[in-house]
Amino acid sequence: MTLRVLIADDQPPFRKAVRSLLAASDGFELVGEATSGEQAVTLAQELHPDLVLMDIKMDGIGGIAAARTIASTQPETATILVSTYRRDELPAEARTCGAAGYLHKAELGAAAITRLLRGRG
Amino acid sequence: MDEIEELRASRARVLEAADAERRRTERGLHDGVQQHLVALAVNLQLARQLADSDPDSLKALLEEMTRDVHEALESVRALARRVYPPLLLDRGLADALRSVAGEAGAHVDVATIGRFAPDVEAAFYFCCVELLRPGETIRVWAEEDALVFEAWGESTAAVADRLGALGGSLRVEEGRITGRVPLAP
Repeated sequence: MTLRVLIADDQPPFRKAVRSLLAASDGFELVGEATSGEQAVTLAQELHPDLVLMDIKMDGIGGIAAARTIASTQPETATILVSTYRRDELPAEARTCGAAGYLHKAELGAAAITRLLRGRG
Repeated sequence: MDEIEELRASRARVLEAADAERRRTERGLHDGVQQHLVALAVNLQLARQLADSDPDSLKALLEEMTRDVHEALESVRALARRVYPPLLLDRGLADALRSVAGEAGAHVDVATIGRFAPDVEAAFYFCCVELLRPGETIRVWAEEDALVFEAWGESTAAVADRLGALGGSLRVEEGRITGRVPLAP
């Protein structure tokens, strides 16, 4: 099964790296890129991805509020929060916003995503 | 406003400016260096995958990563220069001002001047940087007891505060800005 992925991050170097990573990894298809929380919500509604890789720190509503909206309106879409925060630095809302989990950007890889989603059940 | 109130206001502005500069530095680290390092980390994961499956693509990726490393280094250099220019530390005011003016498309008319106390050089340098305007010239010279700059345009509260903190003075007359930093307190 191919996982359809939306990236939401305001930093071009990260989006580019994830684009390359997904293109080279079996089982992933990049379906869209957003640069803000608001755009992530809009694109998620339009594209119905299986997964949103959502940066926490973005201008506007930010990744956590966007993840909360997606979780409440599209429970079939999983959101993985990403950032460069250590786990103990994560805002408390990161655990309660309905996201499937959290990955440090430096640990992002096909295997880590699959592991996290499998754990979600 | 009496002198005490002005002093309080000036101190508050100095603190505000320092906080704003720290926020800019944090933003610079987050948006610059950190993003390149994050991209490198993700690309390293990809490189591991490609090492077995697609060595040709790995070569192209390594070249991209090399470019990312250079961009990260340039981000560090730019940030370090903004926080405290290495040229100012190593070679003094004249060279540091010529360099920053060149980058801003401005000119600095500065004779050979010696080295001064680090706080004097830093305050003087950042005052001049604040007043650099493309196409304009700042004149800089040393007198027996003070470093002096002359610029044209509008001055800022930050310049006045920096000069005030070192016991210097600022005069603005018909667009001509003259700042003096005493060499001895």
